[in-house]
Amino acid sequence: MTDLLQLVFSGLAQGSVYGLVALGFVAIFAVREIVNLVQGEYAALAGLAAISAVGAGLPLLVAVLVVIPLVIGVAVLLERMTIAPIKKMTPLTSIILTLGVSTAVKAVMLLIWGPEAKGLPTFPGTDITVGGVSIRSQELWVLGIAAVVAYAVIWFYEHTVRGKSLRACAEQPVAARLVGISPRTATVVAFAVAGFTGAVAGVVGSPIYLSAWSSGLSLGLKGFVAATLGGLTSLRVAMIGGMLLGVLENLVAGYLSSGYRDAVAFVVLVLVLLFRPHGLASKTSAVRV
Amino acid sequence: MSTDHVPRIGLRVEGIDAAYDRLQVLWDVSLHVAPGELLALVGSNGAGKTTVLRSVSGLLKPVRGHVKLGDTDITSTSAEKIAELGLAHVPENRLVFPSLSVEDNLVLGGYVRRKDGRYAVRRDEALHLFPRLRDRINLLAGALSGGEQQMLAMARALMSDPSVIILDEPSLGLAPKVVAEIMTALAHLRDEKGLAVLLVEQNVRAAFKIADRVMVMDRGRVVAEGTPADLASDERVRAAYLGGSSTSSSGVAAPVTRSGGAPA
Repeated sequence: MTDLLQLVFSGLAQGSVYGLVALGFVAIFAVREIVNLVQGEYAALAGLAAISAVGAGLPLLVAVLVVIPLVIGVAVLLERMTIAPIKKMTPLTSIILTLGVSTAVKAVMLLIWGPEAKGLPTFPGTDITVGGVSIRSQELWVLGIAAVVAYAVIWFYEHTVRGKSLRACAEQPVAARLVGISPRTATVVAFAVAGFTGAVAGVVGSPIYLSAWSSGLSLGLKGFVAATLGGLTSLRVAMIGGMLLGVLENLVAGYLSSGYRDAVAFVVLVLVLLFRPHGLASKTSAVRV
Repeated sequence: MSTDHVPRIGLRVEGIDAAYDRLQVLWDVSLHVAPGELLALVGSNGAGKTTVLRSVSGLLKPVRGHVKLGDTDITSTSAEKIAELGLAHVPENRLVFPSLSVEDNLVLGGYVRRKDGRYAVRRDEALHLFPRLRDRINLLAGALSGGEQQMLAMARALMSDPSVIILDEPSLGLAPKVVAEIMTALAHLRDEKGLAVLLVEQNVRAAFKIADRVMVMDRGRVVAEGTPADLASDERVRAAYLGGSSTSSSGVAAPVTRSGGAPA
């Protein structure tokens, strides 16, 4: 029983990192029907940049606060350079394009930071044990920050005029322009949100799960799988889906074999695509006919 | 921007050609609508009426000619900017935001005026014009009937406090009673608010009743223009565009006067 709780708890923490990455996928896809495969790279970049900043002598908090806007800037800049010039974007074009961009970003990170995985120092706090379940303070940080960020992003999309304007852009691009919503601005804002959630995932996750030039690959894949659970359009399902995926991975690794851990995401992806291609809660797909 | 203080401005289209890729669909189209005037644009399917509206609102850039909003040349201006300058386009098929509430549709209608603090005033005016929306304010727009969606599309357009409103077939697929409500609202906007109204309609009878002037289009050109009375008595126009002689005795030739067309 303690084993189970232990696996579930660390799975939730790990999964909320996936959830943050998944939020980024949805933040963009819900606005422009672009599958942004650079999403995982934002997290890797944020982790590595923060490690360098701390290495250069910056306090951890300052490093984090510098790195997050930096990664947002990179996300927006890459969008301006690679997405914006494309006149007729389809989801398929976006996949091919962003796959290329993510490969280029990985190569740049490999050149700058080298091949080894590194970890950011853990955030302040002490590890505790509750009923035999050991809880690392960093895991609490991950869970708490992920919850706050997820809540903020959902609130932004559902309760602010700017956020609603992004959804309007996705639903009726022509009508959105006619009421004065610029698709260009909407795209920039969506990429900024995605850069933000990716960067947060990178810095809060780095102390436990480490950062490397290539860590965006598996993080991106798992975030993508979580996002598909919500048909790439539901922020809530994406976040919860990420956490469930983390738990499932941990259970499989704990009770079967840790070698199967990374296969879990693929199996889930195949099952979703086979049985619920529009997401688990596909009732809402009436939105986009 | 208060509706009371903004001097109303009109719309002028000067000799535009328009094309989709290389397929030209408009030739030398000119029109003007003054504040407080309603111009109806009629013609068969494919005559280019929708393209005229798209060229005016910036969704399509004309290849030749000019579009002017008051004194401002908006020929090359983006649709988003044109909305801000005071032209509202109620598009074909309404295009409400279906998964947003009626309220949120209105909020986004006022997107370009979101910082002026007059949302509540304009919302009240719009709901006064379309009281049915008031009862449905928290419903999702996608759950509304066709007529209600049309009203919402118009209310949304009004939330930007436009000087010029252009509408693409607002009566399409609606019951006669709803069509009458919508036409009454248009007359109100023209007469009480002094808006310049450009109305594209297939429902020629309804259009003739309310319009101050009518333009007839055919295959991308303007082929006739005049008051509803003039055009309705023109045999050639009537035969070709007004559904033959059968309509002649049923009201097309009896345009309502401006005050008569606008019950409060």
